Amino acid sequence: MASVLEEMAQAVIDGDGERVAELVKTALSEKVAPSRIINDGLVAGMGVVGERFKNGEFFIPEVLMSARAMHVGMALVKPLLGSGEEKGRGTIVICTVKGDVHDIGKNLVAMMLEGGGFRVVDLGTDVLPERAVAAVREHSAQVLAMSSLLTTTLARMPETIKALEAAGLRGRVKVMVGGAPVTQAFADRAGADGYAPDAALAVELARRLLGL
Amino acid sequence: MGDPAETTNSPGPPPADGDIPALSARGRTVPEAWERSVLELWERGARVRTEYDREGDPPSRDSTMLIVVEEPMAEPRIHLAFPGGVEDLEKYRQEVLFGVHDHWVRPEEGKWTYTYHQRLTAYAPVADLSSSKVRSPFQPVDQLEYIIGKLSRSPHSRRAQGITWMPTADPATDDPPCLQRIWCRLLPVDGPGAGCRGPGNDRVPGAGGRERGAGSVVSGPRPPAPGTRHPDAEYALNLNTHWRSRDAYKAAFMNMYALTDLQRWLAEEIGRRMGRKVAVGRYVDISDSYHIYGAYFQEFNERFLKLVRERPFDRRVWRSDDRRVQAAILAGREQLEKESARGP
Repeated sequence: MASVLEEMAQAVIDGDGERVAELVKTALSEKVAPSRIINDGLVAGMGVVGERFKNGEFFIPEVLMSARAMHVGMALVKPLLGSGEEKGRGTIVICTVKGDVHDIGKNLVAMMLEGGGFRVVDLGTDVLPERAVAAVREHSAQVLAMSSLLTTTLARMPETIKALEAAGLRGRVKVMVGGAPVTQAFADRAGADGYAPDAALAVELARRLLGL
Repeated sequence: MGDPAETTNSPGPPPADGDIPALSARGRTVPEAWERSVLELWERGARVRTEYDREGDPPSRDSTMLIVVEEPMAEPRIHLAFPGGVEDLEKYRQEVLFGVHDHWVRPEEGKWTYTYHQRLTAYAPVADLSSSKVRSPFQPVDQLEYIIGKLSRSPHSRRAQGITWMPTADPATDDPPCLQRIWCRLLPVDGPGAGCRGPGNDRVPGAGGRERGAGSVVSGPRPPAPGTRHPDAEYALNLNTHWRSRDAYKAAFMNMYALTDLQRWLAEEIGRRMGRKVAVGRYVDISDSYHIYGAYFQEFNERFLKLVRERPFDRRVWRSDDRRVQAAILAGREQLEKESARGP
């Protein structure tokens, strides 16, 4: 018979938030440590989803439904974590750049990064360079991830990287960029550390940039 | 449920004779008709370079496309091959129906120059779209209100339409509207006895094969007999939507989902004013350039076509009344409320 954590992972894969909540409550009543619930239940399930997405076996809405289910569980467990337990594999600040309100791709990347065990600080859309810089400083982020869907807003990416340099933060934060008009050549010209063409590869890129 | 993948027929790419292929697809539900249209385009579309193809991308697939959805509100309503979550689909539906993102029309900040809702409910041509502060010499026209009023007063009218294009300003913008026009028409519904319902017409619509008459490119199942789909209604509201240019793979499904819901809303509003029951009739969707960008081909092959091959159709779609889908729709509404509370 599957353990409660295995069932939880399956419920995440199925995108069933209601079932995830039931199983998290069951696990807590059985005195399973919150960190195990996260790592062996919620993140384990999301890891399978990420792998299936990468292999072309899942559609995007299914990934996002699974991410929702994982979040339902996370919301129940996170308040129970001790200090220092929440950092995971590193902190990533993510946003769409100033002038760009298209957030679907950014949201997908954010959820996949969380599923990959990262702590994600999502600044939302239409973010000024100085706000991104302030968030990197405030959260001691290791990575800044920026998205742009419009060619007209691409220039905000190198501007934000320059703002990181001006703030003296560039040496301690990696920058990754993505979005429909972004290419590796653009990322190189903008001074980014990496470019990912899709959400699954964004998780791999973040791991690589942080040497994980 | 008809599986669009089983009713496609691949004769290979058409010769490059300079003609844009004129293709069509039909399905009972929105996801069925959309999927069939994309497969048809993939198999029979022209190979064309576009200004959006990047260096090294293969040429895009392109065609003129006519899509017929026989029962626009029938379940399942959601195809899984769209680039977002159900929350995003709900937000987009509300963007089109209720204008929840009209406040993003701020070209002076590099944001949008239009939303479909804004153009359909407050059409007022201007000479310059570089700033939302440029005023139109015309009073804004609520074209949806016009359609509702016109058809409720004159059910026979063929003038119930709304447009989006501003020839005064759109051609100069980077991202002019894809949707050009919507056209609505009411037709009376005869009772079930008036149709030719019989043993041959009792099968599930959409479950059958493909009709291909001489010279015809119409694909999909046989439409149901007249008079059998709306047994309680006195009228059916038909909607045609006309699109200049369309990203078939990444935009068309979301467009169709929202526009068919607009059709439902219009039918309800017209019915309310007439004091009659108005059903949702067939939906027709016409694109001048219906395309799959070359940049998407790898993903299209490695995800969409792979899953069309490997999964049955009922696992490529979701019902909108699915418990998980309903929860995500509610989450999308909560996100919109937060957006609204934050202000523009």
